Amino acid sequence: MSSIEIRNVTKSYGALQVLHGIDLNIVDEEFVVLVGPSGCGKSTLLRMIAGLEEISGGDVLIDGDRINDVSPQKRDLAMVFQSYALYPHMTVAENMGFSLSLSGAKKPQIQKEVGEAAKILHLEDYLERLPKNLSGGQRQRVAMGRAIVRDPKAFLFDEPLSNLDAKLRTHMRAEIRQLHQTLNATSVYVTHDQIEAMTLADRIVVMNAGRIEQVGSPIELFDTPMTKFVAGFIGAPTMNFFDGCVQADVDANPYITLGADNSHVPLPEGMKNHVGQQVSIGIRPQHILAEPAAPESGMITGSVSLVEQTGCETNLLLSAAGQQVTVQTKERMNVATGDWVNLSLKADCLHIFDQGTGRRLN
Amino acid sequence: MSSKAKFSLLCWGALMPLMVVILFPYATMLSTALKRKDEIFQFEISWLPDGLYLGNFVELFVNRGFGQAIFNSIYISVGATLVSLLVALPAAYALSRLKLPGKSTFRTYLLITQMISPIVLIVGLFRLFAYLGMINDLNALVFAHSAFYMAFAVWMLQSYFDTIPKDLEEAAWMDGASRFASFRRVFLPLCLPGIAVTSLFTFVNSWNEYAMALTILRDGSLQTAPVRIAFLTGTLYETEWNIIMAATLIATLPVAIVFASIQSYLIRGLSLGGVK
Repeated sequence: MSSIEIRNVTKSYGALQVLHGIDLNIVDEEFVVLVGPSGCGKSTLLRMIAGLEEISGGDVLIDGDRINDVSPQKRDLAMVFQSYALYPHMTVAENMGFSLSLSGAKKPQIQKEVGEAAKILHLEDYLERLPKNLSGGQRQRVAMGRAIVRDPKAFLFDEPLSNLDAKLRTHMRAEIRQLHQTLNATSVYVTHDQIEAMTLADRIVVMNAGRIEQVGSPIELFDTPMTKFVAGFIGAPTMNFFDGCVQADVDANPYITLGADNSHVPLPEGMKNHVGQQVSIGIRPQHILAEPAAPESGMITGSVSLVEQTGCETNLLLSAAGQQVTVQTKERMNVATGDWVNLSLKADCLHIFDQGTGRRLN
Repeated sequence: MSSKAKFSLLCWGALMPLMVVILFPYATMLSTALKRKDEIFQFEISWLPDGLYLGNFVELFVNRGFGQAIFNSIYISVGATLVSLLVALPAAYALSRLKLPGKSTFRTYLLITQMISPIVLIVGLFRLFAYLGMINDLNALVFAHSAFYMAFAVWMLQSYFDTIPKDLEEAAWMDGASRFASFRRVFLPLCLPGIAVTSLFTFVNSWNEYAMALTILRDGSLQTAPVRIAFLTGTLYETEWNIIMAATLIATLPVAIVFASIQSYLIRGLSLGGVK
């Protein structure tokens, strides 16, 4: 397996620039997930690593060798496509052994390698079937099998689970992670699903509008998002944001008031330097405490507009501080639509961002 | 009777006149081809011949040289189909897959060429082949036909190629296949229905072509089947319908055989490619 280095890579289609100077190092045996909304450039970047898209500027290196001008055939990378891209006229065994047959391997060796890959992926009983006679999950496995049957320098995954139903996606997610633990293969995985990113990745690269917003471990991104975009993108349900101005009380302690009810939310000490600055306060739905109560002055009060019981959690959709707020709690709350609740924000769980730049301040 | 059966009967009833129009010439052809000459001109016409008389076919092949005409037609049609495919396949692939400047203009140009009837170009073509010393050369017709039907072949193949997902080729490249290997081992097998349909249209067009064959092939031994059939009608003081019908019956056979042999591809091809 190998390392992949991306140095100041750009991509333009005519006058339209879709990637703006991407820098990224992927170390040997690492599982890196590129995540971001549709159109952020993550698939384009993956295809540039694969050699399926031309590189407009910058360099891509594999094991220190510049491969900008190397054709996809010679990069020795394996790719799993979103559409699986199985050859419809070939059986499962022929699909999986195609790369080996191209490299001139003998039939017994192809059979052996395909057999081993089929065993790992539980495909032994389907080797003589055509792709059209397989279920979505089986097709996905064949696509994986085609990648692992040879020993490539790295695996590239382009949203491989997006065509599966929710249950199968969860199952295949676990299989991919287990496969990575078995093979220890350097992998680059593209998805727009942040749950997939959180569960699979050693490191996540969050992309937005052709730029890298933040690179870090799943927990780093969840706990300390460096931009408002990352904070809103990572985590489900999504983070709540409140806009306001940092103020100081008589003791010079920073605080912020939210909404029309002038609720007083104390801010960390470090925010003393930002008094007078317009900020966005972010807080995850899990970090808001909700208690059924009558509206009270000085508190953030919300009226319940929707209650979702998932069994493990209760999700409340509220109208509070002049906007919609989501609260998630492990407790079984006995509230109904129209009830009032008092909200308190856990002070150590606040994420404070500059309203203009979206950069983290605390 | 269920409403579905009634609807089905109604549909068949509505289709009957069309069926008659299509089948009547074949029935006449078959009936007349199997009759003796004196049987045809009887006052009371009967559809069924008195016996299974194959003498018309023997006469056609032994004394009228129709076997040679069929061979000429097959040579020209197969040759024209192969040559036009040989050029149209890479051309259509390039139009479908490669970034080329002026691609849409070129496609429009191809379409415009189909609006010109070959008949208006006959004199020019005759002079061209005369200059090249190719009058009375079957290969002249092979080239002329392939040139005329190539634009259609490119147009149709490109439409079909566009329906093949690009991911499949890219997957083959990632598996280590060169552009040619991915074309041959992945792309081409998936395009067989489109290729079959295109081949069929080219073959049938070339097989039925009359004006160019008449003009360029002056020697009687080089005549194609349609030209020879036309000559059968007006060469004697009498019109030998039994011989003519036997000839037309035989002339439909190669097309029918080609149709039958690629039928399974054709059904898929027509449904996938949306031909014409």
